[in-house]
Amino acid sequence: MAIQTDWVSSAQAITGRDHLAVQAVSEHLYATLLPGITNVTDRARCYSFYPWFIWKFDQVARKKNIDELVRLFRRGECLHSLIGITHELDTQNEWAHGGGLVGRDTLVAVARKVREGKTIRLSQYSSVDAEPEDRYFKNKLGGLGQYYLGPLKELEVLDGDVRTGVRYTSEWGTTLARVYDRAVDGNAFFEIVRKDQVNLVDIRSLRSFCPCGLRKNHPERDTLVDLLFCRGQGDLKHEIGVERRNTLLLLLDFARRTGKMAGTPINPQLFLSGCYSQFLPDGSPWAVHSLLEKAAEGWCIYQRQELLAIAVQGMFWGGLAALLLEGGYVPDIKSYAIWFQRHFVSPSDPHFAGTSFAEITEVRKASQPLHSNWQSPDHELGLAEDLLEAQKQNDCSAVVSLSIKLLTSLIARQTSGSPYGRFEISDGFFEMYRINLASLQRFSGDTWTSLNGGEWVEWLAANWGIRTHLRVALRKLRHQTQDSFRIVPLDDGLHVREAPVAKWSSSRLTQALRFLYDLGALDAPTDIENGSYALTEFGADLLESELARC
Amino acid sequence: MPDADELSLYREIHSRGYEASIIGTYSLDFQFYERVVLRRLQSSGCRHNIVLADAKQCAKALGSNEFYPRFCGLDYTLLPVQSALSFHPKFIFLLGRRKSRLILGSHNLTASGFGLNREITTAFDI
Repeated sequence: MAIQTDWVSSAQAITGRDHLAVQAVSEHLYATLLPGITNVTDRARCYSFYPWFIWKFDQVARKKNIDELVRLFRRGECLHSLIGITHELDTQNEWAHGGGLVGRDTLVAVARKVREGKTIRLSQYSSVDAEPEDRYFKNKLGGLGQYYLGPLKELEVLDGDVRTGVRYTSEWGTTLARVYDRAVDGNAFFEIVRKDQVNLVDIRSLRSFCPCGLRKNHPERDTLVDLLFCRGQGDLKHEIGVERRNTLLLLLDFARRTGKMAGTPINPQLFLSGCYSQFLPDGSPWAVHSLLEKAAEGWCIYQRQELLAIAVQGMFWGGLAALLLEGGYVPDIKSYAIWFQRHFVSPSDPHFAGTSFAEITEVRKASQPLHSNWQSPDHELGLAEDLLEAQKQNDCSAVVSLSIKLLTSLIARQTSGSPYGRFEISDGFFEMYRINLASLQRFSGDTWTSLNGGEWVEWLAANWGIRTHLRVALRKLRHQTQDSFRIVPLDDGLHVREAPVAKWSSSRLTQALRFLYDLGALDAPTDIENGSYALTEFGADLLESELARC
Repeated sequence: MPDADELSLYREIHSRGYEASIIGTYSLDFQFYERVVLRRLQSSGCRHNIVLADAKQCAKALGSNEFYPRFCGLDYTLLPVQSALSFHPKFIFLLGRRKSRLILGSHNLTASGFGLNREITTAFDI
């Protein structure tokens, strides 16, 4: 009989994210609105580089097996990134050239060495067996495997996987490879990949491979526009991408309208504010083309979901952060809810605690700014920004107060229709992700109506705080054996481990804006920090022609 | 990361080849059992599941109103054990047609017992 005596191991502790499972709903929405572009696909030209590499490999490789493909591909992807990064260092322009390229964190230092005159061996950085500090990427298929393969398969540009081999498709894959090939010296590129040695002269001679080259190679640019804007014919037509096309057009439309307003930066948050309120930053209404109405409505719902997420995350952060300052312990959830209410509500606003929920929302309805006035600090968009700012200052009381006000504002602003409009979301999905606009509507119409302010806040702290978090963390424990508890249920009660910060989801809009820049539809940001873009002549023509065509 | 030599109760209850489990515990967390342990047992083919728990602790867990067991009597059997003082053994007994494993230690049927606390255990392959 085998006997083993040991300590019981703990589940793997992780920081985790989305501790209230509220951003998962946002993710579902943005994945619907912007398919084919992800949070980690930063450069549009990679959509043609990857099929080109595999197409060229088929033509020139002596051995055509998966191991050889992986070996040469990793060198090739490494070289591709070095070309962009070197161009960036030569011009001091990260945005246009090396920004967002695969393995950048490791390869910037390598590019600097090359610029100092050193000849390097690509395999020192590309080999899967390279030293971890040298290796540009861990995934066997590099950034293609980790980031780009999924969306490129979704777009029917590539097919397969690292086990069975990656293939380009006969429609999009071949077309993109051919138009890319015409603008680059593919034989020289593969010669260096094979030789495994590269110096500065070699890299500069391959500058046509830099992501900036897309703007100059019009056949390639037009093919990518066909792909992303569903403009192709026959087999090349992509109906599934209509949502993406409409979002990209909506971004261009927003750029066109705000471009006339001096000093107005175009960034994802500003765009979302416009969609949410249907008003532009100068206060004029944003009347979108009928083709884009559904996309605008979709992003409006997305932003409303995000505001809800910020409110509940803020309340959770504020509660845990304040509790940490008092020892970080409560015996149970009920005690936490009572402590939360007494700590945050009673001292600052004794009247609120005794006021009925209905009166609280009625007062807010009467006092909140018009939807159009979204630049007002009292508008829900302003409240969310103030909340995040207060969080940076570690002001727990301000964060909780703003969270409650934001939630009240969302309730006061809601209408009687379906909160998710045209989005098809199953009940099973909402069972998993219980904090959502539908449950906000439901609770504000029944459960909460019998509560006063103090009781409501207690309900929120318990149910949309700790209970939801424990359910989410237990789900993680069950599926991944990972411990993501931020407040840990131990034998004697609940112990705060860390207060997770409230933050906006990453909506893919940053990547979409950069794609539009790479394609030449938007001009380089003058202020990269704020992502300030301007519509180009090509972008304006594209917008007009698409609106006319569709 | 857990020490490679340590014993993971999560892994144990997710092992294939067992058709029944009997878990003995002093205190228990129904939510943890139903949402984590039971699901893992079931997903690895363990269909007959029994929990023996101290009756007073059982009543305490039910009386907290924090989580009301949804699958008790349906997907598993709960046996609250009456005892003059306390029912205090902690074990996980996994039974299959070809193998059985008894894991006997200090771990209650709670998240803390499954590794948040420092717990010790001995596994016997029978």
